[in-house]
Amino acid sequence: MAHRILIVDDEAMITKSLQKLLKKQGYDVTIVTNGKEALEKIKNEDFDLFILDIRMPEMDGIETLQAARKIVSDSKKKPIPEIVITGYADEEKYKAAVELKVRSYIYKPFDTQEFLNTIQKVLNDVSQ
Amino acid sequence: MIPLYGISNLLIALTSCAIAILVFFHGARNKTNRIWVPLAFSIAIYGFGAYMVSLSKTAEKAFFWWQIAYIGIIMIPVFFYHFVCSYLGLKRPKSIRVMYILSISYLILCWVRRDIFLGGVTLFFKDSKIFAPGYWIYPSSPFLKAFIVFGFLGTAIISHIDMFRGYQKANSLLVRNQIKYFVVGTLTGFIGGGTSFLPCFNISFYPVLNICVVIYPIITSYTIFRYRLMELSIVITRTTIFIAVYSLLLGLPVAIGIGLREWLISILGNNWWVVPSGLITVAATTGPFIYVYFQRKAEERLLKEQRRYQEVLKRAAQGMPRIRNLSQLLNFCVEIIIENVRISHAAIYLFDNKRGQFLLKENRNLPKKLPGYIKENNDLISWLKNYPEPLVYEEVKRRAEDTRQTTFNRLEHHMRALSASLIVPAFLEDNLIGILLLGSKRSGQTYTPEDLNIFSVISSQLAMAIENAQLYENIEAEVKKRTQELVDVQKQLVQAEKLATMGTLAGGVAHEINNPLTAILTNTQMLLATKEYDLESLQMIEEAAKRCKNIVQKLMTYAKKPLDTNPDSIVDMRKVLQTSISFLKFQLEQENIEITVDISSEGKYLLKGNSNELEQVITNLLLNAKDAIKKIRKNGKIIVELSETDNMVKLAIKDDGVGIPQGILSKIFDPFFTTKEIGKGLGLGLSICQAIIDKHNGKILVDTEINKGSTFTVLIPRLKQVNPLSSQTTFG
Repeated sequence: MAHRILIVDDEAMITKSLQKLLKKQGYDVTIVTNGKEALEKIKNEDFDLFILDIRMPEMDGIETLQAARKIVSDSKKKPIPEIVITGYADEEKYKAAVELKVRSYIYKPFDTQEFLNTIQKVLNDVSQ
Repeated sequence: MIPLYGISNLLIALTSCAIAILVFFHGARNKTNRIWVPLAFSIAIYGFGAYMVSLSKTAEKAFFWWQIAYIGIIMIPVFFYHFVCSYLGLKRPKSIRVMYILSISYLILCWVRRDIFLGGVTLFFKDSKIFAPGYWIYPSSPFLKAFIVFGFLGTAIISHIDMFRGYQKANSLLVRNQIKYFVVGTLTGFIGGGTSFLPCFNISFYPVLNICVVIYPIITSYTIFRYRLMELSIVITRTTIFIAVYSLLLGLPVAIGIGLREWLISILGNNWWVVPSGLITVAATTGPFIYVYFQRKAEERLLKEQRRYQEVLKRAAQGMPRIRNLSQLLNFCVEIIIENVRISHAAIYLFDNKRGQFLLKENRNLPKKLPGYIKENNDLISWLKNYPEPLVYEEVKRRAEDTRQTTFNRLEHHMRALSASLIVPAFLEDNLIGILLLGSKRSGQTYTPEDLNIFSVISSQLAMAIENAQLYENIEAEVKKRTQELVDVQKQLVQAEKLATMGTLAGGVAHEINNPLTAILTNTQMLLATKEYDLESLQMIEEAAKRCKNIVQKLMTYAKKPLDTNPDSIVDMRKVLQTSISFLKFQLEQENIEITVDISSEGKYLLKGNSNELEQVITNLLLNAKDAIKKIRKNGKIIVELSETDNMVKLAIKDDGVGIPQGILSKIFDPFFTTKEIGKGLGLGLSICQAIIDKHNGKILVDTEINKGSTFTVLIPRLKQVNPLSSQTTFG
């Protein structure tokens, strides 16, 4: 069964590109462009991986992350591993993400192979 | 019976003598004047002799005194001729010598053999009821007749013809006037005096016109010595008036006493002398008042013209230091002089330090083109430096003729080349800073010592005024330079502030660029890995790359120097606002700050200014608003309103941030004042905004409340009217 990945990024260019990339790898990709939509999806569907951009308007990555964890824990679902995409200037947010013990971080613009490797690693770790 | 002839001769003797003495002591500076002295003395001798003749009761006495008189008479023609030749510059040494020889010989002969060379004496006018009888030389010898006709009359005619020719040849109005007056005088004298010879030809016409001989030297002396000797002409005038008044006042009683003696005796008997004595007393007491009255009247007339324009010139000298613009000053000076002194033309040369020359700076009504500059080592300049006094052309010319020194010749040549009748040097302390060049007076009169005094005063005033004006210009230039330096420094500060905020913006830009770059990288690597042709991917790459280009352009636009573009172009505030917001929109959204823009559609937002600078102001205010919000909250709202009130473009940027404490409100526009941590901003932002808005004739207002937010309002006068037909615009 293909892994299901939820990607949240306010930049359409990025979500589309990532969807294409990951689809080609055989993943099942769902894309949303803001935190609210992401929470909706998490509530109603199951995912194996949650990739989110840390810097977003309205609800930023950290907020979305925390809210998502709550929904998951509330609904007693399996916790979803998170990968946070961050830019080099997001010092503060990165620190916050670290404290939240996010599974992995990746800086954009990222090397595609590295990205795929990270995803693979996280999914592997979880299954163990 | 009035001894008119005798009285007139007494007057002649006195006035001529006085004039001779005066000229001898004051005016014997040049050759021509020196010949005048013996001429005047000869007339005096004739006057005295003829006066004594009128007192003589016997023929013998009369003849003796006529001999004395004829000493003077015989020398008059030759002295006169010599004088005229000298005055007109006619070189006739031979004829002059011949005349002297003839005259002196004749003179000697008249003493040795008066019967042959003069003749005899006869009483004339015995039957006259008005005039007293007197002795004249009659029968007159042929020698005497010849002398009268050829010597006296002939010389007079020749000299007058010479003077007429001289008048025609004269190229200065001054000389012409002199000759005119002179001729009037001499004609009067000769005609008047000539009538005294009539009895010698047995024509019994009483020489009433002899009195003209008194007037003649007065007029001529006045004319000649009016040149450069105004004080002398005042003296002469005073003397003549004195003599005239007193002679008349005292002479009249005496004349009455003598002439009307019998008539008085017949009326008053032995006390006849009371009348003359009484008249003398009256005369003596009223004399001084009458004298003063006439003297003042005469001088008033003489000096009226002088005093009038001297007054004006003084006022000009007072007005000059007030003018600070150099060319206006020179213009004013020349105007005043030409109009009030009524001279033909004027020019001013000023010393230029850089070129080491005197440059022609101002001129009016020049008769011919003058040289644009005079070198410092020019003879004229060197002379003026050594003798810091005005130079009068006529005097220079005379000195050149008299002394034949090359210096004066050169000076005369220079003055002629410059068409200058008068050159007044202008000294500042000991430096010759300029020369004032004047043409001749339109009246043809010469420059008097008083004139020269006044011009010297004016030239020194002018020198000081010039120094003032030049200092002022220097100061202005210095101020301009400093202002420019300040403007440059301000530009640099603005640039520094820009760079400082660039750090903040760079973060935003980096982020902005990150996203498209990610898209490019991802898609490119994907295509490379799959080696498949994917149109969608390629389109995404292209779109992403374009977006990067825009972002970079935006950054470059912001980084451009503030005054690169035309500082006074017409700016549409709407566009400026939109550009600034588009630049920051991404960043603000990333930081969860909602920005609302409300542009009132009825407003007119065109103004004159610099769009780059105004963008800088808006960017700065928006960033400040963001920082204010971020201080207390994670997100916030910025409301931007653009409207128009009272012909002012009104831009309000309102945030709901931390607000500004009252205590620091007055300082926020100070340069280098900041509430940010070190490294987070220079604190130049608002001060530069203020400077930019000031430049646009606008103002920035602040309205704030702690923890509620601040509103920064920028007001700039808008452009009132743009005339499509011309490039002129008026400011609203």
